Amino acid sequence: MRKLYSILTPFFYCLPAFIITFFILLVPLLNTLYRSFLKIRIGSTEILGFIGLGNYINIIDDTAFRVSFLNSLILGFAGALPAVLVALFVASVCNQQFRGNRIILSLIVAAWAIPPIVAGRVWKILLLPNGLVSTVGSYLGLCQRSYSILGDPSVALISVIIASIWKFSPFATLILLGGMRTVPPELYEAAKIDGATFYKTFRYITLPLIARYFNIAVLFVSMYIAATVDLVYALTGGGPGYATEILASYTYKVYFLQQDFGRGSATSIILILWALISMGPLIYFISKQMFGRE
Amino acid sequence: MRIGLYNILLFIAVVFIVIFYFGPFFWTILISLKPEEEVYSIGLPSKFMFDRYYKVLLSDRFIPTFLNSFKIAFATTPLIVLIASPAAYAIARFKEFRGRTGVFILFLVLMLLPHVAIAGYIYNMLTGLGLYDTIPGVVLTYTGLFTPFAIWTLSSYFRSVPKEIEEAAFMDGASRLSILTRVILPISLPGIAVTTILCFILIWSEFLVAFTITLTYNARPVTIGTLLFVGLYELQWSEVATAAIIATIPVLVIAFLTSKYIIRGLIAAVIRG
Amino acid sequence: MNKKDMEDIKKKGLPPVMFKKVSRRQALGTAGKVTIAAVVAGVVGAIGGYLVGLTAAPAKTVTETKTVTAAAATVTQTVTQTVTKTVTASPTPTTVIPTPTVTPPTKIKLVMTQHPVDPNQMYAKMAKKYSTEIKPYVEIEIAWGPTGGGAVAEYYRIQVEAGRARSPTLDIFNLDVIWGAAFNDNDWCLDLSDRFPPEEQAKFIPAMIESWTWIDKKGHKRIGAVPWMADIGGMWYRKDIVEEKEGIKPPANGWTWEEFFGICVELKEKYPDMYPLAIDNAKSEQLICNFQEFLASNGGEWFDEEWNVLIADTPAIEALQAMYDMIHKHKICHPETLTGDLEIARKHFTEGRAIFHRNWCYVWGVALGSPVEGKIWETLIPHFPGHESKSCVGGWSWAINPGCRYIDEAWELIKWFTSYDTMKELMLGGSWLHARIDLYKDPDIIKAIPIAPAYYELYKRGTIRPKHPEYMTISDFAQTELHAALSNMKSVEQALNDLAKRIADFLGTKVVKR
Repeated sequence: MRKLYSILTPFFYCLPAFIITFFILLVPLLNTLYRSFLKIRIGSTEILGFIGLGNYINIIDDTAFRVSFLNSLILGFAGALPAVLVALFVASVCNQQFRGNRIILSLIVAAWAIPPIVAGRVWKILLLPNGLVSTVGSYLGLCQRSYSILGDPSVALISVIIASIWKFSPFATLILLGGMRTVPPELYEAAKIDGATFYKTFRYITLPLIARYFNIAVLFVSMYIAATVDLVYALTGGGPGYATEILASYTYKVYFLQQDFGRGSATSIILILWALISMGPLIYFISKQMFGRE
Repeated sequence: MRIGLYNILLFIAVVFIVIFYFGPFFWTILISLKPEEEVYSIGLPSKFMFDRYYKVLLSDRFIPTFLNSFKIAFATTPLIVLIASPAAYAIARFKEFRGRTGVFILFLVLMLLPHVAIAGYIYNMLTGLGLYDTIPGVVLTYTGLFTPFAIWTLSSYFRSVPKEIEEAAFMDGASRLSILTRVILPISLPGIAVTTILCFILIWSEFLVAFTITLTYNARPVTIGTLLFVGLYELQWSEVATAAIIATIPVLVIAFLTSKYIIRGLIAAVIRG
Repeated sequence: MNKKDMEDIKKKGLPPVMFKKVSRRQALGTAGKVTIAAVVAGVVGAIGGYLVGLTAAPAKTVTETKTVTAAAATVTQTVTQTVTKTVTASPTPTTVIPTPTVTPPTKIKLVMTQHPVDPNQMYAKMAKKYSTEIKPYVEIEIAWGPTGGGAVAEYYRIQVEAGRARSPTLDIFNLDVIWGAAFNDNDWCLDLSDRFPPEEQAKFIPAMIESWTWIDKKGHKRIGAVPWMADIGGMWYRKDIVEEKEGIKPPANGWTWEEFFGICVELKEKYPDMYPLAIDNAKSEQLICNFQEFLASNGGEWFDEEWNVLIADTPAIEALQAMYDMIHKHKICHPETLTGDLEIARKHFTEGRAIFHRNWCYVWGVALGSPVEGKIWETLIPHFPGHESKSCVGGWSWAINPGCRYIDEAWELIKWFTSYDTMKELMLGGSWLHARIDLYKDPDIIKAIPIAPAYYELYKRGTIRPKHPEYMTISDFAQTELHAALSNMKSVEQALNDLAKRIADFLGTKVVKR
């Protein structure tokens, strides 16, 4: 009885979590999988028939989809990693003892808390031709004042990346900062006594101890960047053409704008698969770190 | 000499951070103070329209959504921490938990589901249950959406609680539950603070799912409320910006309050290894 | 917990008083957990079963309704409606005595959706007037829809679901013209042909009636909605600059595109600090409206009678090429033309920075109180040689949910709202423009809205976007491809070929070039 109890107890501890996530996440996931193989009348949930992989083939055929897939990859690497590096930088700054570091932290969090649609719109306003960024750029001799940053396919993508970094690195900053704060100060004191420089302290004490948080932060940021529709939509609408479309915004388009729930479900499944596969290695690392040391 | 360089570098770093992060935020404030015609111009406002803040606060379109967001966030966040803590603890520390890695990966995978992929079906589900466009429906949905994330973050922080403390308490005969409540939770307070504020912000700034599962002022949160400032024929972006700034204030306040716990951290109390 | 406490714990262990409570609690805890787990499992199972049952239910209701209507075809229309209502209770229709759906003064409630933009709250006022003066036993509840871009799609889906499920939660729909084919083809709105005869239809703007007319699967012609709020595209311009200073008078049938571009280029030299043309070509539905005007003014079509795709054909290529040249060759558009939105373009015009401006009718209202008040007028959209000028029609119409509980009352409400007098009162009160053509010849209206005769000219030349039940998807394909061409990512021909192929594959038809 004791043994049964001790095996079952952890499951009881997880039970409420299991229930709620089963209900809200697992069931919709399975249902989406089911619907991705059906043809559904546009604009409604009326099922017209079973067409197997038809939806998937239709989607993969679409150039816009292929570009959005590529963009998601680019955004994932060029966006998530720099975002976390920036976050690391910011977190270490906030970790220092100086007056006002709480205010800086709150500011950063406030930047994150602006509703994404409004934030996207503000960035868009800044990036319009004759807007602030191009004007400053013209003073620096980088471009004309009326240069259309968002109208140039490659530059538009870069601006989406930068806006994403801006939006999601505060998230990583908080995680990393929380992690930095678990480092016992005695270690820092000891290092100081031994005469270590800031750089050495950072490299040999801080970094290894927060490695676990670093992985988590990268995972979270990649996930959020991949999944966020609002920012991209408010900023570029997926344009010019389909140059800044990412998988998430493409899914949103098919599902909510075209109202095709069959193809939309198929796109959703592809998005989920991509998310899982691209974060697979990271997942492996993290679970090893989590349980490896015991 | 070294100290001087350090201070200078720190100062420069802070300046960069402020410009980059605070820049667009500052611009939003600027837009909220400009006359509507100047929203797209890059100069300073010709007149500062502070009374717009009164107008937006008193407008009947905005305050209901603001209150809704409060209700939702303050109901959901504690619920999430309540549900996630035991699960996180079980994953982090229960040696006898056989399927531990599996459950861990399961929650991780569930956490990675893009909301856009499942929002549609959640709509169907809530409609079927009669919870469409109600606050309990939104609370239920958000709890489900963000609990895996909380479990994740918390289990990481719980693991950094040194084992000796736990073992000491265990040997003194305390049950798992009381170890959780009396030992782990207080020690990992910064971790909990981080998780709380992250959940709060995620809930507060959620747009897509909220949009799909609400319709009227019954349950519409403030992220949608900011977009309701339609003037005569078009969206008045100056008013939207004002609403957005007002919507950010609670988050600012909470961030500031909990930052104390994050920054103070686990000082001096823990000995490792 | 500070350092000292931690050391204390390590030395002394936890206080003993805690443990006595714990052991009793432990036992209770286990029993409690098992019970809770059992209850929860039961609940989850129940909910799961309920959900599974749910997904089957609506389909059933739909089929039943359809069979009854077909069987009762010989009975008069009002009776059919009553029968439809009771179908879920008694599936066998016997001879039904027509009974009025409502006997006053029983209070009833009608729920109608409304476009959230209600200039001067005129609409709310009129709804109140109906409830207080005309029919006091009818209470009107207004469910507002969201605004802008993707939000409108959500609005669409909500109304579609209500119509498909015949849900009584929403009685009267407020629908965009581009949804006409979808709602009609799928029977998500009631067929109003018996209540809205062709003589009455002729009094409304032809293009809007056209959008809502449909030949359903049985070959029966039906009209699904009554046009209410009208909107049409036109070429606004600065009268003071174009006519007075430069002496250029817009011709009665509009310029050709060549002439128009020539004028713009000339004016660009003479007025270097103004944009010749403020037109929104960003990736949105607006782009399709613009394209429709270019296409129709070249005699082009999207589909033929069998839904084969004609969009890769010469008229379309010329149309898109003209748009491309407008932006890149002549460079007469405002800089944000591809990346901004309609509001940005409109602001350029109403703040005096643009000479020409392609937009909907609301510009007149917005211009009141702006720097350009009294200096603007509207003319026809230019056209290609040998064809007519065409303006894209937008606007919203009233339809009835087939599941409405009080269909006759709903019809009375719609009839009143779309009556000449109500519409006139709304327009004079500063609301939107409405869909009866004669309004624009009414002297009172012309006095209040001097530009009404210009609108009349535009309404005569309305064109509609493709009337297909899956227009939403077609529009999305088109937005992507057209914008890619205009942004220099593809050649015009390549974009149109890709678009045509994509649409044809989607619909299962062919690409045809005449």
